[in-house]
Amino acid sequence: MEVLTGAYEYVLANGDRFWEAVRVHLSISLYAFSIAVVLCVPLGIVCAKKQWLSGPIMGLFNSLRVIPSLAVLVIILPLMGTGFAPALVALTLLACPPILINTYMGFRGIEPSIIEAASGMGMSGGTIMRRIELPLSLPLVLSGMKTAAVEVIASATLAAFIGGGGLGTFIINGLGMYNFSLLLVGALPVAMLAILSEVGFAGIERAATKYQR
Amino acid sequence: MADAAIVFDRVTKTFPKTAKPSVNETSLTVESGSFVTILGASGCGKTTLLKMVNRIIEPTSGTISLFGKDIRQQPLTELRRSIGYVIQQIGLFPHMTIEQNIATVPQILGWERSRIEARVKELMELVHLPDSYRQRYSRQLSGGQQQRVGIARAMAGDPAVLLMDEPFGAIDAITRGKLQDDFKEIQRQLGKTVLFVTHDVDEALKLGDRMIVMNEGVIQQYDKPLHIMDKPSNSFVSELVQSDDLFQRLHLIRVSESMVPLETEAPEHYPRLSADSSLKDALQLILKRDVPYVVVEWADGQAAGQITLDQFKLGSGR
Repeated sequence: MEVLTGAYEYVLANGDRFWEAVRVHLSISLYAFSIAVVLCVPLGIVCAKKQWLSGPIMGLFNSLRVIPSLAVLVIILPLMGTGFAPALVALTLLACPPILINTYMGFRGIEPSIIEAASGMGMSGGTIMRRIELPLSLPLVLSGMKTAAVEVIASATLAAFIGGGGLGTFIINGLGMYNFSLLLVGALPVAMLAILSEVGFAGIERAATKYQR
Repeated sequence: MADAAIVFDRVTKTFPKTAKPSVNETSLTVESGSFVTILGASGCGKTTLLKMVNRIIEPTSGTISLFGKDIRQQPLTELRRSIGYVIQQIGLFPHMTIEQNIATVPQILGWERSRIEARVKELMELVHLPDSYRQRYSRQLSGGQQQRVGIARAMAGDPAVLLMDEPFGAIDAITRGKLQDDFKEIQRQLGKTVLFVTHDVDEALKLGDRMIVMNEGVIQQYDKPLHIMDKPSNSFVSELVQSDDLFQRLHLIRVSESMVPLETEAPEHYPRLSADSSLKDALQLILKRDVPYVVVEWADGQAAGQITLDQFKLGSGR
């Protein structure tokens, strides 16, 4: 309990630093997430349509997936130095696999007869994409995004290790100074943000699959 | 009636990496307003033949024309919007309501909202689906009901031609019979030209005004179902359509197909039956009422022709 009140008092006393850390944490997560979405949703679609591409690309991203987040950050360090940019690159790499793989699975999972019926009725490729394929793959794409968002928010903590800032700074300092209140100032908001994004995406997913119930 | 709706002119399709053509040098004319069934075993080229009409499959050589116009002359999407397409897997869009599914083509064609709504209502009635189903999703319907939606959806843009690829193949026997009857009735009402692929002999005989028997990419025979049963052109056809149960066959043939013109005004007391009755019905009437012939009449009561015992002799002449 004392530890908790300590954390609360710290936030009250250092409001500026706290909110700045939250802002950096959120913006680095949001950037990484958005870049991953913009890159990987189209890439996943292309992989689903061109089978010969899917082998190498899926293989690459699946192997990326097994590298621990911290290792990615450390690998980036000698290449790009410290600061916001290398942290962003590392987090983007982390966000990519779930989005890419789920987009691919979402598009591959569409019943071929649905596409045949659509094109047989004279829908153009673009219309089929917009009205049939995107909505039908949306649930899986969203669940990939959910995984990615939670992973990015949690891993953004590690960005502090390479000078990326964010809530991880409190955790590192707290650990270093053996100050658990300080540690919680970082850890609790991160946990809350991760849970919030999970719940948020779950809600969107539910809305997108209304027809299945 | 006699206009050509679909004409195949020496059409061949050879799929890559296969030695034998799937459809070989096939020429054929489908008359406007006729219901043509294509019968054959799997792999005989019947589906290939069908799918070349809306260019899901492109022929290797030869031309196909629709109402006198080469199908390659208009944009692909436009061609397909003018042809109804129904497949065995149905392919309803699971994320859209029944109403939205049926409205697909009218929406692409840019119809006004009120017109689309009226059209959906009309079609749901036509295929015997209750109006309350409009807001449902396909998942909530049985297979038979789903295919009713599939048929309604295919007809939404009022196409003159319907292509159907084993549409009732995955539906249980009882429901299938009802669907066949209902669809045949719809086709007759609206005068659509239908090309209908099936591997079910009874279905091909029952539905088709004309019937194509295919084997190994070649049309073995193209004729009225009755003639095909009477005079199979070769042993393949006769083995396929032969049946020991003549009555069952008679049950499949409609009197409108085998009737002959009325010779004289029929006496009042002669039994009449509607044009979509089967030959079996006609035979029963003749035997029961002990008359030399029965009068076939159209739905409006106009006499269409007569059936005498001679028409049955054809059927047993093998």
